[in-house]
Amino acid sequence: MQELKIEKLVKRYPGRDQVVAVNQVDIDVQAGEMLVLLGPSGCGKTTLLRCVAGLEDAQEGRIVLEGRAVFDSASGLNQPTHLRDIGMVFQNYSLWPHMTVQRNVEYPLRARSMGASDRLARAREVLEVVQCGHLAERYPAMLSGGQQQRIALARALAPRPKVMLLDEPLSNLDALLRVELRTHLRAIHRELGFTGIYVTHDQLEAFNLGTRVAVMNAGRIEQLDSARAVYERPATDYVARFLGIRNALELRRVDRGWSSDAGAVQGDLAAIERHADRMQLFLRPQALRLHSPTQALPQASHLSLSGGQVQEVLYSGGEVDTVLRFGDTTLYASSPAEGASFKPGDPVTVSFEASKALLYIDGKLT
Amino acid sequence: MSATAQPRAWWGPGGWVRRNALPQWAWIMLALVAGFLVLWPVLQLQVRAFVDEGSAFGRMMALPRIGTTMQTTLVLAVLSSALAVVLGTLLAWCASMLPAPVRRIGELAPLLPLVVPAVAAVTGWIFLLSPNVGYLNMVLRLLPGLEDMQEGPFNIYSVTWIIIITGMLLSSFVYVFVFTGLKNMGQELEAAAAACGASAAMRFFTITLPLLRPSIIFATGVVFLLGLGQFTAPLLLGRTAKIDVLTTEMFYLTERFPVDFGLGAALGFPILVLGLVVVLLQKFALGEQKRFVVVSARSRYNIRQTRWWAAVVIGLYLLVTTVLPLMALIYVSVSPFWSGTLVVPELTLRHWKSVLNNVALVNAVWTSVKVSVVGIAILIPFGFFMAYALLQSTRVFKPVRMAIDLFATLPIAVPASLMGFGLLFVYSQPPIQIYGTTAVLVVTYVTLMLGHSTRLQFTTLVATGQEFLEASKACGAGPLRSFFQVMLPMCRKGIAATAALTFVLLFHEFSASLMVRSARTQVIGSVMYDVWAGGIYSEVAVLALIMVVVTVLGVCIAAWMGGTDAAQQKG
Repeated sequence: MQELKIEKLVKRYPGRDQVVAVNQVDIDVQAGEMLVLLGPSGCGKTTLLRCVAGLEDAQEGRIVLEGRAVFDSASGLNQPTHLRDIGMVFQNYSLWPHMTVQRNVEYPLRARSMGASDRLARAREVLEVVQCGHLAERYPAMLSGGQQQRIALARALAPRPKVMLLDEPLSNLDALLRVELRTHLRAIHRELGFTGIYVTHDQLEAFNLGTRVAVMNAGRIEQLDSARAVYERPATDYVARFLGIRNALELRRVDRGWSSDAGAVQGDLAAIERHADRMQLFLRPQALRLHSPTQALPQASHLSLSGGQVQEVLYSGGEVDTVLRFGDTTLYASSPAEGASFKPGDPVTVSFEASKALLYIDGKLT
Repeated sequence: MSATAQPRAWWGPGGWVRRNALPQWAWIMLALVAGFLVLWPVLQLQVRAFVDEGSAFGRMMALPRIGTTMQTTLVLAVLSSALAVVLGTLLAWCASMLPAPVRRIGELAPLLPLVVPAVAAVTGWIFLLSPNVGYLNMVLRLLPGLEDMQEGPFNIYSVTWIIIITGMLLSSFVYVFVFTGLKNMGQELEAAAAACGASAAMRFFTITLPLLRPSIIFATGVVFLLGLGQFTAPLLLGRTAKIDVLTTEMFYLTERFPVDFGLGAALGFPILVLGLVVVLLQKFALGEQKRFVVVSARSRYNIRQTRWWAAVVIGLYLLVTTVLPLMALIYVSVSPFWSGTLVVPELTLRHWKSVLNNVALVNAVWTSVKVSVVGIAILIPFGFFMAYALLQSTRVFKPVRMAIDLFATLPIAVPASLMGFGLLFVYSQPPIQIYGTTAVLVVTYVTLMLGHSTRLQFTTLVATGQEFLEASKACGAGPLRSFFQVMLPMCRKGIAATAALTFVLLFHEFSASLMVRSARTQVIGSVMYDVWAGGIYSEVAVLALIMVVVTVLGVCIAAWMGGTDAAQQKG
């Protein structure tokens, strides 16, 4: 069942240089699914979320919540936020400082005219879910950032909304707390099974929490897929770059082979044969293996680049990151610390499995 | 709209009116009421200036010394506002460098002159600097080299002193805006400059001052408008030396019968045009929302060095603007008569008794209190809803919001004396003939202060942060619940501050009150003028002091009702 359906949504900010913050976006969110909107700042992910909440007015498109349209540009329908039955967690928590934790959490229940005893029971219940039952009588100013975030989550969950909207809820917390809350949030989602949209710029957060992940770029969805598919098969060169796949080579067809700024690609070229004269090759640092020029290369499905030089060797705990120069091109390799023997200045050849190569023609994965 | 969207009807189900206008009826009503209050007197009056082919302008140009009057008006506005801006900014800077023990009190001190009504302050200064019998002049004449002077060295009845006193009266307003800007700015940005090796002075001139520009521009606009409409000092100090400004000319018109409203409108026209130009320039220079909010950064840094001399500067300012005139008032109020000698006479409470036994005077004080309180009771909710409508996050229809913005701006742009003149005109004739009743005072006060009430509460709303409102909506709370349970409690302190300032401004209201008063409806400011014109200076001093006392009480009550800041609430 589709819990939330977004169709051809467009949000423009008027002005001299008009910005299209959300550009023809289509998304279906299934019941119980946590859809993560992932992208760098300014890509339109928060605007999209706020459109769903009704805090921004889109110009075109339709938003349907549980089969009922809440926004429809064609009929001029634009339901105000408070009637949309949503729960929202804000980046800076937005707990009302003049109400106790209990009152904050009860507030959405009051707004839905729930009786006092039910309200109390439900507030206690959600506060227990976020492990903050003991804080009920405190004021927000007396809580730590992590506690405030849990209360904000409880407040949003309390009325059992149709859809939960989470706007970078963990980005104001320090790294350790973020990991802890992320795990907790994952557990709560598994337990309660709510439908949610989660906005973040942190890919780890996205992969941890997202049933599916939508990567956004300039108001459009670049890729919408399972976390695993997004990670392993980034659909566009933009997604590959955003995910931090640092090794990018421009390949040009030369005679029967392929060359790049880093030199000619050697090996079984059939493995990367494509019907194009130019393409981009993306490789994760972990995919690169280092060899000294005298060493024998692995066989068969491996491809290689030779004539490089080690520029820098960075120990990063358990792993060694090696920075390599091939002509004007810099490549990055990451390998287990054990057995790493290269030093800056050493000549080097790199090899990689053809299956690990991500190839893009006109920016699209092939 | 997408290309496929059907063209829709204006009327009927799904029509433009049903979708856009009807849900907004409350806001439209609000805009209509505000528009009527503000536009009706101004437009009605200005029409009078242009009927009969503008003969009113001919009558204006035929007035004796009209060229000088216009010139004085402009010079007074420019120089007094320049003085106020420099003084107010200096004070704000000093206040930001106060050492911890005196910080709280020192930050409030520059606001104290606001407690002393302009009429009272000017009267106090007359007692000090009247060329012959001013106490300060007499003391100065004791100095070596000055013993031979018969009068002076200072003459308060001069353009110079009108400018200085007006500038001092206006400097508190500048301080309010600039100091708020300075506080909101936090010290992070200055700390960053310090980390780059910038000295305190360099930080002030390269970081603080440029960042304060919005506050300073806004304050400059406000005090220029006040200076342009300045009435009290020119009226009380200018009459002796025949120094006139446009607003005093207008006032003299109301003292004759029948009142030549056309001529008054013509006199007000240049002020009105200049006022609108200033407001437009202000908007143009500051952009939409930036008019009030400066860079806001929560700061944990404390980079500004504290200086004891900053406290001395503020103390000196307080001494000159408030303490000296107050002391003069007190002294005159308990002296048998304003003697012109420095010999301490036998003190007496005769004048106090005389004032308190005078039914007309006591009634005027009560009228002032009542009208101010009723005015605030109307102005606070009225202004709050106007401010609420101006918030970007509320779904108020754009033309309605723009109209409300205009109606909140106009009363600030139109000087009180001119507005008072317009109100006298429209409410002394059908269809709304309420001149001579207390109601006209209430309407006058609401009209005058609507702009301030809206702007001040808008600042509070913006500072409160729209996220709290959004969070409430996202929790499913409707507009009423969001308003009463979230916005109102969170803005309580700001609303109380607005109420306090509105009370001060209303209770001190002089120029418009003097225009719309009648024999039966007098407020403290207007009876004080009569007593002053009658030359009973000791009773003027008593009335001025009563004004100060009531003002202090009013501010305390407002502060008490505001309670502690909701945002700082703990357990």
